[in-house]
Amino acid sequence: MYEVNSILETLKIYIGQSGIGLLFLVCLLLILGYHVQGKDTRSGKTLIWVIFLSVVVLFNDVSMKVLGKLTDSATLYRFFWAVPVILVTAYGVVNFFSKAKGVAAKLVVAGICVLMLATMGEGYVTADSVRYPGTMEKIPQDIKTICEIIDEYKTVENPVCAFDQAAQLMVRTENPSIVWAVSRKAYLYFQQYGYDNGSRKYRYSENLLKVVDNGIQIKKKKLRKSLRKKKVEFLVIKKEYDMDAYLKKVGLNPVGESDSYIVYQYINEDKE
Amino acid sequence: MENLVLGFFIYFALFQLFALPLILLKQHLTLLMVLWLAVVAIVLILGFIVLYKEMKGERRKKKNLIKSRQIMCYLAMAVLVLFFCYFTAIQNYWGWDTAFYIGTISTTVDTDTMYLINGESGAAEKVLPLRYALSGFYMNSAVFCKITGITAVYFQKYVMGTLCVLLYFSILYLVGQALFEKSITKTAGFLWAAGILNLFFVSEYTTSQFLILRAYEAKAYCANVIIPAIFWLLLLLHKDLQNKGNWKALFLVMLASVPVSMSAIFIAPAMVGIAVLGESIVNKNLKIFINGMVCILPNAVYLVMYLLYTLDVWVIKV
Repeated sequence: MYEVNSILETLKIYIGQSGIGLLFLVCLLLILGYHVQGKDTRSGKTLIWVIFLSVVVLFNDVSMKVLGKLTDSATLYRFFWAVPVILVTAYGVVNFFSKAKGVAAKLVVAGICVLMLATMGEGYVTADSVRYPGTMEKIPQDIKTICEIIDEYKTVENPVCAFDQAAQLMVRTENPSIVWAVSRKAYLYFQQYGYDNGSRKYRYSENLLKVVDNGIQIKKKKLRKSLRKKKVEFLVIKKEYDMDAYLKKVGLNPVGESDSYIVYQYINEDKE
Repeated sequence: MENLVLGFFIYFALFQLFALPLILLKQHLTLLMVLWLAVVAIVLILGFIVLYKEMKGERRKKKNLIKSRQIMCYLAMAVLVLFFCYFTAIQNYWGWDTAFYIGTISTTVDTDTMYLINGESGAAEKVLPLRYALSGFYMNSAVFCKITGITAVYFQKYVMGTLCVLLYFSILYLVGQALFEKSITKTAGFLWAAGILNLFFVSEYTTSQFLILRAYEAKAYCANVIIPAIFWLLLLLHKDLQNKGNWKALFLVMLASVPVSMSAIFIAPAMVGIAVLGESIVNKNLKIFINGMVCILPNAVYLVMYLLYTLDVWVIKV
C-alpha cells in the first residue's frame, strides 16, 4: 500500500503533509527534557531506552525487510500505530498549557497550537463528510436494484457476475449469494500495470474488466470465451457506455435496469 | 471505566475459546450461536447474582458533592464523544477491505458456514484462510446478526463502529487520569486535544483514519482500542511495577488482542516487549522482562499458528 523501500519513506507517508509530525516531535522532546532534567529521571531514562529499542528492533530498514517477508509488506504502516502520536501530542499540549503561568502565556501556547493546526489542512470535517448518505445502510438504491434483478433472473444459487469497481465493492454486502467474476487481485493488477501487458494469469478477467469497467467493445469471440471460462451469468454495465447492440450480438440479453446500470444475462449453452 | 474496557477484552477472550475451535473444525455458525448464547446467559445470571449481593451488603456511603466545574468537564467530554459517535456513523467510506469484512459477515450468516466461502468474492475456499480465521471478531458480529436479523452493514457500521469510538475515548479517559493524577479538568482537556488532533491527522492508514472512516473494522480496533489499552497499562505499570493487578490486566489484553484483531499479532507483543525491556534495563530487574514475556505468550502461540499456515506447514483443507 505504501510501495516504498525505506522506513523513513514509510514515516513520511504516514505523517503526511500535516504539521502534526512536527508538533509530536516538539511535544516529545519537551516531555523528554522535562523528565530527564526534572525529579522524575527514571521516566526520562525509560523513555530514552524505549525510543532507542524501538528504532533498533523495529523502525529500521533491516527489520522492515524481515517483517515484510513474515507479514504482508503492504501492511508495515501498522507498526507506526504503536507510536502514540495523538496521545503524546495531546499530553504535551495540555501539559504546557496548564504549566503556562498567566493568561498571556496560555494564549501564546494556544496560539501556537492553532497555528500548527492551520498547517494540517482542512481535516476530516468538510461539507461533504457531514452530509448524510442516501440510505441508512449507505448502499445506494442503484445497487439494491441490481441485486434484486439478479436475484429474480438467476438460474443458479450463486450466480457469477461482473461489475465495475464501484458496484462490485457493494453488491455482496447487499446480496451475499452473488459471486464476483473478477477478483480484487485482478482489479488491482490492472489498475497498477494497465491492460494489454501480456498477462496470461488474468486474461479472462482483463477482457471482462475492459467491458464492465471501461466500456470497451472488445472482440465478441474473446468476450464470449471469457464469459464461458469464468462461468459468468450476469454483466452489469453502466448506461453511459451504451453497449446494448454490441452485447446482444455477443449473446447477452438485458433483463433489467437501475438508475445508472443495465443488467445483462448470459445463458451459457455449452455443455462443459 | 476500567471495568468497561477490561470487560470488552474479557468478552473477546471468552468468545475466542468457543469460536476458534469451531472455526478450525469447520462447524456451523448456528452451533457457535447456540453455545455462545448459553455462555452469555450463564455469565449474565452470575453477574446479576454478584451485583445483587454487592448492593445488598453495601452500606450507605457519604455522597461526595461533585463540583460544578467537574460537571462541566464531564459534559464537555460527553459532547466530544457524542460528536465522534455521530461523525463516524455518517461516514461512507467503502473500499476493498469494507467489501471483504462486511461480505464475510453477510456470507457467514447467509451460508451458516465460517470462513469456508471467501467473504469478498463469494467463491468457495480451498483451504481455511487462517490469516483471518484465527480471529473471532467478525464471527462475533455474525452471531449477533444471526440472532437479531440485523444486516451486516447496519451492525458493523453503526454498532461496532460506535463501540470502537466509545472504547477509544474510555481508554483515553483512563490514560488522562493516569497522566494527570486524576485531574478531571486536565483529562477533559486531554480528550478534547486528542479529538481535535484526530480530526486533523489526515494521512494514509493512520490511527485517525481508521477511527473516523473505518471504525467498524478489526484493524480500527487494533489501532484505537488494543494499542491505546496496552499503552494505558504500560503507563500504570511504569508507575507501579509491583502491582499484580496491572500485570494480570496486561495479560488479559494480550490474550484478547488477536481474537479482536489479527493486526495485533505482531504489533502488540512488539510494543510490550520493547517497553518491558526498557523498564527492565532502567530498573535493573530481570523479573519485569520475564513478566512481560509471560504476557505476550498468547500472541506467541498465535504467531506460531500463523507462521505454520503461511509456510504451508499447517493447512486445513475445506
